[in-house]
Amino acid sequence: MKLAALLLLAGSLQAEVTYDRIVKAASEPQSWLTYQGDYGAMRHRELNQINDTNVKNLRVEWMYQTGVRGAFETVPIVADGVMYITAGDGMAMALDPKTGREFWKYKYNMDRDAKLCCGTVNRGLAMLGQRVFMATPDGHLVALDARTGKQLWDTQMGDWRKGYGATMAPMVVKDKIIAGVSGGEFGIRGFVDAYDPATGKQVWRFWTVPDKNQPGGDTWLADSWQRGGGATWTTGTFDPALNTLYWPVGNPGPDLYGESRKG
Amino acid sequence: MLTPLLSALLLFAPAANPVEQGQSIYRSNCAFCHGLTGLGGRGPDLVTRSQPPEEIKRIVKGGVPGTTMPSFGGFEEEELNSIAAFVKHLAGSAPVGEKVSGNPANGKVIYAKQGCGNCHQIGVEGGTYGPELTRIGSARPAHYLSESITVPTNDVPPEYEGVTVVLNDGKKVQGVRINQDSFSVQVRLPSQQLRSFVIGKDAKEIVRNKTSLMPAYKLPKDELDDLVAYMTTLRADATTGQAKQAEGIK
Repeated sequence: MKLAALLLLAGSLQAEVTYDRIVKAASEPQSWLTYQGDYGAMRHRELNQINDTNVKNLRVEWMYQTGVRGAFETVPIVADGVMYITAGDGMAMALDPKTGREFWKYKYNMDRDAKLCCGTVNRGLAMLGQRVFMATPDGHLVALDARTGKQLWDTQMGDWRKGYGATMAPMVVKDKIIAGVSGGEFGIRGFVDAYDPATGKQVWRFWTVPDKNQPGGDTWLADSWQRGGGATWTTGTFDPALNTLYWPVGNPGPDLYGESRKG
Repeated sequence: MLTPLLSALLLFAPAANPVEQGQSIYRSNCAFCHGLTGLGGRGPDLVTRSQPPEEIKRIVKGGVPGTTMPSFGGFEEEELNSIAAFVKHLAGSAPVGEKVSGNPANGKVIYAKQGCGNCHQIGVEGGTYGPELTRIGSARPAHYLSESITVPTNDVPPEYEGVTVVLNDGKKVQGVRINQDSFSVQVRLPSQQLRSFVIGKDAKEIVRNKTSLMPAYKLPKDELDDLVAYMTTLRADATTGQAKQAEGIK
């Protein structure tokens, strides 16, 4: 009994995505371990099984229907024989890349009254260990067990009542999950957050719009910084050598009228 | 379907005896999970922790999301009333529910010693090979739990049926069958990895297991009682932020 138990436990250590594997993503070109493919976001692979001589022979092998209408913007994570995707409406699925069959499906329990700033689209998951992480249209971040799709925690990043939503694929950096928000046209003050993958607790926050006490805070007219925009609605990149995170910042708010936010 | 006049007549005609009508509806729709006398089986016992009639009607109509209790949205108000009346009747005439003897604290020790956590999860702890036991105490009565341990083959949940895949080299791989069709099978291995096998490419044959993947555990009676007593204490979600559970199952 004991021996069997040991074997079982040892076996379950496979199929884990680690920070190290993502840093060395180029060494496993058959995998796609993070939204950008690797930290440099080059999205280039030195694979040659399909090339310009045979690409014309590609044919459809399988089709999977998510059942969700509307925009479908996910980038699949492919690790150790399983493909993890998101659909709109807070859905996530694990599929078999060989046949398109579903291993599991998860649906986020969204507040039915929530007014979504930015639609229900989602760009994909992040994966660390045996967990996957997804941002939700109402501004939450959830963690799921990658083996079953069971929700492990649910953290609010921004309140939808204040215009926040989230559509981006989070990013794993070392032992943290980095995520941003949408809502630049809805009166938000943008930020990039880091969360603890085990508990969902916020580790740090970087506001993209300074308050009066932060550098640059005196350049915003009156209290316009409180609704300054600067959404962080797409995934950034990371340089492990410089230990530096690069993150795109969206338009200021109000978007097209600058008089109320002079500076 | 019934004409409006006929349905109006039926609506206003008083039920001959709500408990009798309830019994016949219960036998067709509820008994195979909740037992003929409401003592449970593949579903919770309805007798020990009896709910008020409005609550019963609400659960029947809406189901319990996140569990195997479906919603029975097709019942009319009168039928719901009679179901509630019959369930209350069962609770009334039964002895005070099931007495669970056994020491839960010792049961917890036995659970660990037997390695149940290798395949079963309580909260976030444990394996995902077998069914989750986080709230098994609310979901199944003690006699069902006892039988699940000693003769698990007697009632294997459909989502946990086992399958044996014969690989091209003759080696056999066993796992929980997630999907199966004529061309492939997707399984969860004992290592909890998700794998797919395509017939003709990765495997020769797929055989459905006749017995449960869970082995039968022959425990001395007092240990079995302790273990079952421990499992009946498992009623709440151990994790924070778990998706909202419906009310009605405590």
